Amino acid sequence: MYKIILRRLGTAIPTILLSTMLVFALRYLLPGGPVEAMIGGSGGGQFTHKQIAVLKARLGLDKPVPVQYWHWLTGALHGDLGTSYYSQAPVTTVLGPRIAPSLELIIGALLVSLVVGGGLGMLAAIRRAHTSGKLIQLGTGLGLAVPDFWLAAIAAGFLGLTLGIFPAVGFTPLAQGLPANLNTVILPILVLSVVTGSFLARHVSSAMSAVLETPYIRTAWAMGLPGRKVYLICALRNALGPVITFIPLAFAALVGGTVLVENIFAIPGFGTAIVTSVTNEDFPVVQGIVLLVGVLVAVLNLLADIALVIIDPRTRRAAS
Amino acid sequence: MTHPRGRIQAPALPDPLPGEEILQIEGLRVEFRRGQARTQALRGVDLSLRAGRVLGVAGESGSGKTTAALAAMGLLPRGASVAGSVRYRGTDLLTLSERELRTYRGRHLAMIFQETSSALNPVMRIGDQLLMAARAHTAGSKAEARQRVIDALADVRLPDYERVMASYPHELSGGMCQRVIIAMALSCGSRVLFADEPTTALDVSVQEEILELIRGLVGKRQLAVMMISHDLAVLAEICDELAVMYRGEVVESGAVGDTLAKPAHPYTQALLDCLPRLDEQQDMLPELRPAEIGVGEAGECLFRPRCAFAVDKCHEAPPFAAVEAGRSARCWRSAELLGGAPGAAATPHDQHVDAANTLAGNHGRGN
Repeated sequence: MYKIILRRLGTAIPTILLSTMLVFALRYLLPGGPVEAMIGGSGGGQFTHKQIAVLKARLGLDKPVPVQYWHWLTGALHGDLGTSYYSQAPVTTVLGPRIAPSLELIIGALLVSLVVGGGLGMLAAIRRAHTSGKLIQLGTGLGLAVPDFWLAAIAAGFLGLTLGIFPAVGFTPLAQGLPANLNTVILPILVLSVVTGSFLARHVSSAMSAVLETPYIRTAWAMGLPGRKVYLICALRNALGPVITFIPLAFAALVGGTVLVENIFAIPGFGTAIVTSVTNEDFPVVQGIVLLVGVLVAVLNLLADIALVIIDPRTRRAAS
Repeated sequence: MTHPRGRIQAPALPDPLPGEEILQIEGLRVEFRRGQARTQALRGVDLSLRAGRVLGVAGESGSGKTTAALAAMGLLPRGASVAGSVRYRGTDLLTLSERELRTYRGRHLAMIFQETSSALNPVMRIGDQLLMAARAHTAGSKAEARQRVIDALADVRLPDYERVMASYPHELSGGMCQRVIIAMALSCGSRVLFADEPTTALDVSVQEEILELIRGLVGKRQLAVMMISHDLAVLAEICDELAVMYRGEVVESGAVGDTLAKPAHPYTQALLDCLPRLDEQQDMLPELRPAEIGVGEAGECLFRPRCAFAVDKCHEAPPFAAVEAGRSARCWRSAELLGGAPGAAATPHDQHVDAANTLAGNHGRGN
């Protein structure tokens, strides 16, 4: 078990480092560079070369890029992600309040996808020879095909403005009470869940269908086990593997989804932050978000690996 | 899934008497439909299982031997239509709902398959699987179920039950897994065991142990076993009676010794001729005319196109008729094959071998 955790960390840390390096390098690939971005426009207009050099020195941008990266990295390890070029506030202060709304959307959408999507996927597999199973497959196919930006706009417009069931835009923090908070996040969570949930349903259904055709399930039937035991105990545990592997992937996909959904529903999460900071070329903030998401995905991957070992004794032996 | 939650249970029946006929399959017909295509898998099969006896069912792939067992268990895939009757001690299993039938599976009838390790759930401990099956049929306590499991493991000669029950399937050998599956059927209380090629995936020495084990259990627990195999040597060793199937029909049945010593149907003879012998030097085994030659049309003998003995009369389907005391066959020329009738040319055996040899020469070693 510890070996697996160590091995996973051994791959996760370089992955995170590499992704931050890529983002770090990115700012030098763009025309202009950070200072030009900061003072607005290429060439810097009214600024003299001397002024620009001073600014560069103050930001540490006069040093070679690897040295700059090293500074950023050692700072990050101490919890200092740098200062926003745009607002001049520390990145941690800029991002801090934006983490909770985004995580709420992502975790909410994951839960809804797992319960509804996973449940539908199981039903689709169990009833795969029947019309009901085929209808579910059709529905999840549709869920995959619907573009999320369209769905978000329709949801905000129809459910929010026309019917007025939920507020079309805006966000009430959890601190102001759960009902008020839920009222503002239900729509974005549902929109995010349609695609992820459909994906998950497809995933569960194919894993489960394969399991239901195995000799050990035939043995279970041949020994007269009741359906709920065959499906929920014998089959489900075997179908969990692919589902668990899917969760970190779904998380990463949902991060992408929040960028869109937060902008449409005007939710102050890191999805809106990344759009504004990219437009402002506010790289320290972008860098901070990439680091945050990278760490979260790596942690989820690690948890998924541990869960896989727990549910499947064969990997346990292979690992030890 | 609108089933009421209440548990229904199959009736608890007294122990059968030795030799009591406890399962009768009569006129069993199975047809598979896929779209417009229909396949006759069974065309009216009669088989009977007795407590404390082993019935062997032989035949090539597609002869319907597995289908017959699956139909009796109610485990055929969707799209199969079943007719006829499968009577288990007074109840026609084919008239039961899936839910009622489920209470008979395991509790009264069980089936084991060719797969060994893969027939057990890879992520559950053996003990949990055994207990789950043992407790599915009775309301008794966990301790009582555990005792039944331990007894069953002892009966399949796995006395080291603590270690076995704590293991996962991948930690046991194929032979041990097959024993565990047999123990599962025993601990559920099964009286009838359909064994579909249970030793095919095992190596020869383990195969021998499993056969011996099944034979022992048949005597000890008065099990009625239907042993399905394409391997006549296996069947010769373990069975009391033998039924040979061809294209969804039983073509010959009778006591295993008589049937294999002196077949009353050319198909049985042909299967025997394909076995290598230790007592003769053979460069090439005779081979059965390939199945691709075709199947008899409706109303004629199904084996006719491949039969080395076919005569004009075989365009008419022969009845399944008694040929000797306790033996029946579906062939017009059974009497000649048995050597009883006058005018039988030479010995049918040699004649057949000649025919088969000619075929082997013409077709080369087909497979």
